[in-house]
Amino acid sequence: MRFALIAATALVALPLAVAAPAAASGSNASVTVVHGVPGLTVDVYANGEELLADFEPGTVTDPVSLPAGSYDLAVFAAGEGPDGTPAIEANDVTVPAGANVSVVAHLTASGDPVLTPFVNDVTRVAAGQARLTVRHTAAAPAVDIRAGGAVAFPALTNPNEAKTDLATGTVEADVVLAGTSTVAIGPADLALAEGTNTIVYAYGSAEDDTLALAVQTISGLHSTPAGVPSGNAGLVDDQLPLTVGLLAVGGLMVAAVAGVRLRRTARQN
Amino acid sequence: MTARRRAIMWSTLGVVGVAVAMLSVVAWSLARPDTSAGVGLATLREQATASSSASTSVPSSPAAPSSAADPTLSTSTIVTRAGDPEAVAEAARPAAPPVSITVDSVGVDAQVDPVGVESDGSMTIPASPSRVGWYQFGPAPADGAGNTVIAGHVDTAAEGPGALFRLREVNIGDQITVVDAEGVSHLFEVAGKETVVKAALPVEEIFARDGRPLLVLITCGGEFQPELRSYSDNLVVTALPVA
Repeated sequence: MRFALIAATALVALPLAVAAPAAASGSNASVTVVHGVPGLTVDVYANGEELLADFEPGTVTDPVSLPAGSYDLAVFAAGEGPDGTPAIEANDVTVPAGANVSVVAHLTASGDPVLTPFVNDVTRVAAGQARLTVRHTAAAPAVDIRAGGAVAFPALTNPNEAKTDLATGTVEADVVLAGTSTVAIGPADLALAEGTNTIVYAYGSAEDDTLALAVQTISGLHSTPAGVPSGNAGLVDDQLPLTVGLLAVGGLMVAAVAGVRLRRTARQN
Repeated sequence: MTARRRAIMWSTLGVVGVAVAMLSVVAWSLARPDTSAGVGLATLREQATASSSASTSVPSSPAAPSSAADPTLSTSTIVTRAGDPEAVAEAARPAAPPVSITVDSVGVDAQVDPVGVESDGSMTIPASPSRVGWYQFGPAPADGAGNTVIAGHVDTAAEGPGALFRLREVNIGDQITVVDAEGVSHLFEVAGKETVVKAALPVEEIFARDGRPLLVLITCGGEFQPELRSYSDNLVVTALPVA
């Protein structure tokens, strides 16, 4: 059976436990589910309850706020759960408080379906910048990710990721077999919006010719400009003008002289 | 001249001297436009927060057990989206950028350029003071939330007074029109005017991308510091959309 049951518990729990963020906020976690197994519409169950129905390959959920804790995840072909045999299963998945996690249903390099959680980098990016994360979740050998024809992320293997912060804009990206110019996926235009982490999944199977890209975007990671430098000639200077200052000083000097004369006059009497 | 007449003369002169000194300063300060008036940006944003939290129900987030075993799920509708790059780019298409701004009451009429940040992290301001910059990474007037930030040089040494030179004369209630690239006019009404020491500029509040939609106009003001070729303060004018 192609969608053999995979005992993915160890694989799933380990990276989460290691990557629990230092700055955990609240007791919930933000979880996004990504479907990267071609040809199979599924229902996703968590702790025996249906979380997602009719989840299509190549689609991504909006982030879901889930209580931190331990989850038994099971993915069934649509309509076959929860009592049948799951296509993919992962038990005791630890979701730490405050984490931002993507749980990806995908194929291993050798073509077996698994669930892999990735912890997303939601630290702020500098003003004007965007973050690009690439993840190899395809049944394919090592690949290079190219941007504008130049290798940006070399020799990426399943199930690993690479990332960088770069100037906001559109990047023409493609995926080639590592060290070659044999294009496996793309090219595709990636619109990298400011203050976001754009996460690109290479998924599918090289053997079945189903390789494709899925994009998840996390927004709200922007920083603000440091200031607004808006004038350098001094024409609206709010300082006390010279004429006003002279008038005030002159007036006070006249008053002082008058006071001295007044005392002298009084003394003469 | 008798001693008595001399005394009267000198005391009169003394009083006149003090009066001239005081009047000149008072008259000058009265003649200047107010550097702050109306409701400040922080208050405007707080008002919105208060009213929105009153009208929307607080989402019930289940308290997570600390032992964290088998937490219950609230499986409300979870939105799924197509993940292919074209669909994602289309969904994230930004709102139309502003192209011009006019404030008739103080003679402001300027073209708007989309701008970003300088290498030192400060907002880019168009080099020519006759143009103003819109912070393109923040909200636009057509967005339903957050601040549209437009800033311009009050003046430059090369070109003299800028488009926003008379912004500090603006009054509460004055109308501002921003036209966007799709030709839509967005009407705003001045709600506040503040002069803020540059070092203390509340950038998080000014560049906020959430909260009620506001228009924030920024230029320079305060004392000019010739040695730095820079002003001490920012003039921040906040305006509310007119429905």
